[in-house]
Amino acid sequence: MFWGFQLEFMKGMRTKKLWAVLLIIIGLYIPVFYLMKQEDITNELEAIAVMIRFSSQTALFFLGILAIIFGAGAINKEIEDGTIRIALSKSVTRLGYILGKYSGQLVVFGVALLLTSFVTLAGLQWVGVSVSKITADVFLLNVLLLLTMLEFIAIGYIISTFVRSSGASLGVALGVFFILYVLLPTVVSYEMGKNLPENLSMEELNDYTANYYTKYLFYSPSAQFSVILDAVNEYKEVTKTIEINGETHTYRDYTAEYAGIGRAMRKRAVNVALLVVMTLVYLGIATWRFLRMDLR
Amino acid sequence: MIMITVENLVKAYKDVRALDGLTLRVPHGVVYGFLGPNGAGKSTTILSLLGLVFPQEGRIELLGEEVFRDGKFNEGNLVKAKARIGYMPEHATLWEFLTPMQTLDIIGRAFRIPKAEREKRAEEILKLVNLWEVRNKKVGKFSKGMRQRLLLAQALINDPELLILDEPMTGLDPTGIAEFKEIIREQRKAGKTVFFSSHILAHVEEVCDTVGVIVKGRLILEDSIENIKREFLKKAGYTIIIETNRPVDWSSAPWSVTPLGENRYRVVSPEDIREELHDYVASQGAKILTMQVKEPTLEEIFLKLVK
Ligand SMILES: Nc1ncnc2c1ncn2[C@@H]1O[C@H](COP(=O)(O)OP(=O)(O)OP(=O)(O)O)[C@@H](O)[C@H]1O
Ligand SMILES: [Mg+2]
Repeated sequence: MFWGFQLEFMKGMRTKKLWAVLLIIIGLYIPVFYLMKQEDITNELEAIAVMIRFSSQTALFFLGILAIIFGAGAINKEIEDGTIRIALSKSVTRLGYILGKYSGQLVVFGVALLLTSFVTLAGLQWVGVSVSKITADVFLLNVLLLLTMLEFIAIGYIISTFVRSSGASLGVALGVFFILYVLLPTVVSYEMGKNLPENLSMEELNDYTANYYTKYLFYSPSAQFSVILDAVNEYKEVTKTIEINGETHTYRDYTAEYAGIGRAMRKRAVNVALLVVMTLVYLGIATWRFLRMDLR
Repeated sequence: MIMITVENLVKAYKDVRALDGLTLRVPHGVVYGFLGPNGAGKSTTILSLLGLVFPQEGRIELLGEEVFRDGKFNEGNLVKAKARIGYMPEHATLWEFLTPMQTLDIIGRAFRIPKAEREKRAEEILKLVNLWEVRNKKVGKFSKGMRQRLLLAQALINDPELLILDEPMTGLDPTGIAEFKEIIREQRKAGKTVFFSSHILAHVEEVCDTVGVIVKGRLILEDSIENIKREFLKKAGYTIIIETNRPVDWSSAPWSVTPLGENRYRVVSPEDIREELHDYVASQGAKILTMQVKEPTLEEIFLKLVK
């Protein structure tokens, strides 16, 4: 297994895969920092809120596509090139090879996201945000992104072992990504909206959504990622009064208080666990297939 | 020791039966030429040996280890056997972004060869295959012949007892082929066993001790080249072409004779009949001016067999 890892890691470095990932992330982040600077955001909680919004939209989208595409070419491209026949004619097992390969990609993405964390912190400091209180959150955010990417890679591996041509698997990967990222979450949200109980508080609504997503979207990494991040804020109910034409009215309102990514991960521990468990399930399916396939 | 034992191997890809009960045996220390036309199942056989494709039935033993039986590979034995085997695939690319040195280094690691020894072997091998000059150039910039040499080099890194080469000489120029054959001969001298496939007879002719011919997934012949030729002559007979000084009447001759035009004849007989031919022609009051005995080329034998 260690050899497969070495080989993949070396490939990641030499083919500049790592740097490609990093460049894409940084390319995405630079405009965000510029905007923050223009808007003069110096409050750390506001800043992390912007980063989270950005991660759960833009970064998740691009990195998700990147991850599923990396995965989708992992095996079939090697069969086309013949490198896998060379590799597996050596003194290694198939199981060790695929797990080593996956770990290699894990480390490449891990390093990329670790570096991203540092870039983010540097960027925030450049904007003028004091980062001492949100340093841990920046790292946790990237850990969550990493877990999500790893699940997308594993889904890519399944595609890569079932679709023989690497060209076709690219198309399939994009299709699967669209289904998991947009189509099914939209359908599930729509269904949820139809059955939504009335009079839910914000916290209750959030929990309700999370439940729905856990039940019906447990297989979608991006859906789990967003459901976890939905819990970063704590909503406090306050009763407010307002005077209209001399009469006082009372109404319910919410104040959102940033409670941190640690809190979100604890509160949505099931969804964090789903990210990990489903990754293992997907990887298991891909491995099962890989151990049986003709490598020509 | 028997280095490769294959018994009744069956491999079907969806609807194509690529191996149809293949049986063959490669003893220690020989150079075995595995011959067959395109699509005969040569690559399928080799890929099956290494566990790269899954046959459905049969048995495979490599270097005394049983690696396949009852439709299953024994991964433990396979890994053990692979440690002592070098394999050169048919048209594969190596990692384009690595240099020959780096390629041999990473492959050496797969065999857990210590660093110092890896470097020493890499140098020896790159010199052997004539890539030492370009050892630090990226493979992406290599010509086809250079890639082919590197493919051979990577097969040699673990100093294998058994070399399995799939069409190793396609794409090489005549010098390259000569060098390749020399390497194969040296391997045999060093006591190694070489199993290589080809559909080009010239590649096989001067280096192989034994030839196996596979057609449609079955081994139809396995013998030394000399024996194959002798057998073929026995079956197909001698073909002698003669030219005489005047027409000859063949009606009382015991052989089958075809006139080829102006006093030229083709005589076919199961035995060597050169002397008898002289006597017969003389008895007809004529003289033989030229006589040409046609030995079958391996090509002809091959074409006959494949039909
Ligand atoms: N992936 C595959 N799917 C279906 N059929 C296949 C596949 N690979 C090979 N075959 C078929 O199996 C048969 C044997 O192929 P194989 O590559 O073993 O032949 P070969 O003797 O190596 O030929 P060549 O000299 O062209 O390399 C052929 O008929 C081929 O079409
Ligand atoms: Mg072939």
